[in-house]
Amino acid sequence: MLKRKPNEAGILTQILVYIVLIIGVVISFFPFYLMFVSSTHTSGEILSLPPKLNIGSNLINNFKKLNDDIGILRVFFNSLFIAVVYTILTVLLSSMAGYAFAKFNFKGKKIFFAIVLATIMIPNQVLLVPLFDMMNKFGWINTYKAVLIPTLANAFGIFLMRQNMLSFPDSVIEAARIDGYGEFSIFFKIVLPTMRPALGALAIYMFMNQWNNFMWPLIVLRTKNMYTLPIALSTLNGMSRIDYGEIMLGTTIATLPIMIVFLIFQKQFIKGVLGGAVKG
Amino acid sequence: MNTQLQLHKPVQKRSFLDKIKPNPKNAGYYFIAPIMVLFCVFMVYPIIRSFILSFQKFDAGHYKFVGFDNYILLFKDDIFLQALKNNFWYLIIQVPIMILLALILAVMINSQFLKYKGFFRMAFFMPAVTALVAYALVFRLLLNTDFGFINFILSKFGLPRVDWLNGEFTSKLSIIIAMTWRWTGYNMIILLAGLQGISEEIYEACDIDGANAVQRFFKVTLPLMKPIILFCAITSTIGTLQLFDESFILTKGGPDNATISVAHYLYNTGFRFMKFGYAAAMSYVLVIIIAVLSLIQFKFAGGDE
Amino acid sequence: MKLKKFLSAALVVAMTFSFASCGKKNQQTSAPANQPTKITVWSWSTAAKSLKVAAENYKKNHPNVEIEVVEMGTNDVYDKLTVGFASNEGLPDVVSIEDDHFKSFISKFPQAFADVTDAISSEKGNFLNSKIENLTVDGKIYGFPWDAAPSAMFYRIDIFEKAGVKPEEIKTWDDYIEAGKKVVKATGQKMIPISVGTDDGIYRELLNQLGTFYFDKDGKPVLNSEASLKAMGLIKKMYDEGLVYNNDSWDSLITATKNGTIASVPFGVWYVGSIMDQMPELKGKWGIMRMPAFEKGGNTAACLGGSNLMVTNASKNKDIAIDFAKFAMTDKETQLTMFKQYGLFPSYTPLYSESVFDEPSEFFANQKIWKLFADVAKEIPPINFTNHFAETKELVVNAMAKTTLKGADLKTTMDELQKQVEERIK
Repeated sequence: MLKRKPNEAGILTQILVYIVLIIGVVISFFPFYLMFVSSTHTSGEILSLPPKLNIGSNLINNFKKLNDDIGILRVFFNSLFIAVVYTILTVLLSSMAGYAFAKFNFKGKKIFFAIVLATIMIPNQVLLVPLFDMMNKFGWINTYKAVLIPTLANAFGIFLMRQNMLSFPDSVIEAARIDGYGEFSIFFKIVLPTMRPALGALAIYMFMNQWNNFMWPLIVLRTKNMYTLPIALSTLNGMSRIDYGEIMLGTTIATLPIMIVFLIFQKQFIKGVLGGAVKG
Repeated sequence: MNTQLQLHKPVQKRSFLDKIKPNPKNAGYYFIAPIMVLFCVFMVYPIIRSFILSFQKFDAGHYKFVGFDNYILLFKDDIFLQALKNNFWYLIIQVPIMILLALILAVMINSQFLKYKGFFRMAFFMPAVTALVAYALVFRLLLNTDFGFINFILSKFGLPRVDWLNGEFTSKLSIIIAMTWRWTGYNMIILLAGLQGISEEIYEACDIDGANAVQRFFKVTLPLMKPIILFCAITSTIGTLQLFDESFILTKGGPDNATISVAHYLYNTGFRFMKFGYAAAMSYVLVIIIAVLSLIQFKFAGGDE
Repeated sequence: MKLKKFLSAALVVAMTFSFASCGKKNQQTSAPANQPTKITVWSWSTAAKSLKVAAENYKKNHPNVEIEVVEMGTNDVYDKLTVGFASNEGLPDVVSIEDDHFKSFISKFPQAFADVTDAISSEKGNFLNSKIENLTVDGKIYGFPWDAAPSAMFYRIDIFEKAGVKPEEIKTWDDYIEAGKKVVKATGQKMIPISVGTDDGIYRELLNQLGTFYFDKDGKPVLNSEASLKAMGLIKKMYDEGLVYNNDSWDSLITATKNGTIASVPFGVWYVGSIMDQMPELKGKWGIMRMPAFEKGGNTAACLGGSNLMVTNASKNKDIAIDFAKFAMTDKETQLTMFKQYGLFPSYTPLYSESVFDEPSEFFANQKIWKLFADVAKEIPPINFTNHFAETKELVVNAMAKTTLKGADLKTTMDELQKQVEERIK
């Protein structure tokens, strides 16, 4: 891996780099630390002075309250189910579209692509009412698909996959055609397997987006047993009585899966983002 | 049905089937069809509807056509103009700082000698994935004037407390700090990806020429990274112009609209004041501004696509 | 319409049948009492929890009615309602709404709420007048008053003592300012929390005390009236004198209250619950008294907050929904549980003669706090929120920030504010 000699950077430079990075890590991580630690304290302890930075003893109590209030298991499942299904669908659909935009010539291609890119600029608050109207007409209110399907129309995924697909050699596709492969087999058996990093990047990005999605699920989900984590946590933000320990625990639980997903896929993520951005 | 037509049907059907069978000419449509249907139904259609809405006024349960009134009113609305100003403020200050910071971090993490790269990458990326509720709560606890951790530290060093969320300048600063905390790592990862794509041979060629690290950065790294930096700049610009969370949860847009963003005002207008048409008009003005800015950035950076 | 149907059919074939099922929503058929019916209720935190109690109690006599109470964040209720009313679909049968939000909804969506004038008529006199008036539009009543939010001055007994301040001697706001100066001098703490940059609650309480509001009885803005200048002037004075702790959010208010940074809090009755929940260690250290008046013997009653229970017109079981709402708001046992367990102070006055209202509160230095709040509640002058409340509030908060944080001139700022509001609500 290391092609250059390790002593190339002076020892002073090395120390400096480590110091800067560690300070950066502390700043990045501190709010999370505060969140984790707070989830083990009572509301009163969190708000007292000086700030509590040690681990408290109220974790189990907070968990019990949290579970009583929002039914953490069910809510967690909803979030996970929606995020996973969404990620799979959107990765599949985006890469198909990206492939088409990168490797085919057809009438209307440029217009389609322009439309897709233009939608990135629309603030989504303005679409809520018309979209909600449609969900009602379709009878989709309070279903998983109401959360999932409208958000599949995601320009970023298409863009990212197109950029990655551009570098796939045309000659390979041509050769496969001559060998008698159908168009779909070429895509699924030859092109997609080489796109792992991009797919990983997209998967993290989409999982993250859907996991934290708030406004849209809030509008279309109607009962507690369908709520996703962010919405369930928002119910704890009541008027005059807020239990901060409980909320902090809830947010900690909400953060962990994303950390894990990122840890698993981060290598692919970086390579995939690379493919998307370099040829921008 | 017409008999003649029925006679022709089998023939037509076969040629039709041949036509629709996936081949290099039409396969593009197959790949693109599902997402395009989704786009038309769940994006284009609502966009058209909200666009029509921007020429209407909603009152007493009815929509009334008012022509360009909403748009005209918008340019006389001092809160909207203030929000626009704030957005530009954030854009001009925050985006360059963040991208520079992200670039420095990326270069550092890309150093050959560095160990635990995976850890560093994750540590810096984490802020981008925080749930909004946690982000809001933690930052309010951090930035509180009397009890906040940041002021606690400042006072430990004998420095004066800062009124983070109430000063006209400091509240803007707080939002910039919060945004930078949240998104630097995200951009860093993208830039890092770009750095890793620059092949070793180029650097080696440079080493032979006897360039030092700084020269190498400006002569090799920066030019090669231009498209990626542009990518980050454009996505950050769009993100900043659509900024909502920080303004909404940290400062509520205050004090005296010093921090309100256009997207926050848009939300207030639609969901608090229930002026749907006006809110729609606002979002289309925002779209135009975003489009123009993105275009300028492209031209400025000489991007070709 | 055609296009939409076509596209959606192309999308998912299976859902075509759903078009048929969403036919007429506005039929007002209510199922006969012996058929099982289901009604949905939207509410927030403690209010939702207490409605679950109400539902249990209601079911005892109506076993065929199933009531689902959906709990969500307060703002979430409004966001969902707004979107729901805008497309007149996906609405609950019953929903709780705060006093200040009601007029905006009814003016934008005149068909939003069911007219309950007849249902409430027999009980009308039993509710606080200020609450009923807020729910009345063109002589029709659109909901059942729920919790009232009479305001009073919460104060730290120990801090007042340390500063040599006697609470019973604070009769007017001038007295209060003098006391505040003593507190600041003796303890270095602040006298009063005001979110000068983000919320104008105290200004509204003061206007309410003076028998006015942002708007007069006809809904015209009166923000540069004499009363308004008095109210905002008082805030400015307290701020300039250094008595104000500027709490930028709810959490920082709680923290300040808990840590003894502030000596008093002029708030609605619901703050009792916040204090008892979040700061049990301060038992015996808090007292409650009436708010000071602007002049000796002047009105001290005001309110901050309060909500109502409404039935939507879109409800398919409107009669049952109305019946349930009425039950929840007038059944003594239910109301008592709501009050005792969840701290929702009733606006249903027959309850005030219950024995709990005469009991001293152990937490609050054995004062009869509930009696005090009940007395205040009866005197609250009605408030005309109008449909422009939300937007005006934003502008008022800005003006407040100007006069305090930026030290702008009071009269000029309020004149400007008046002009701004007039222009916007044209």
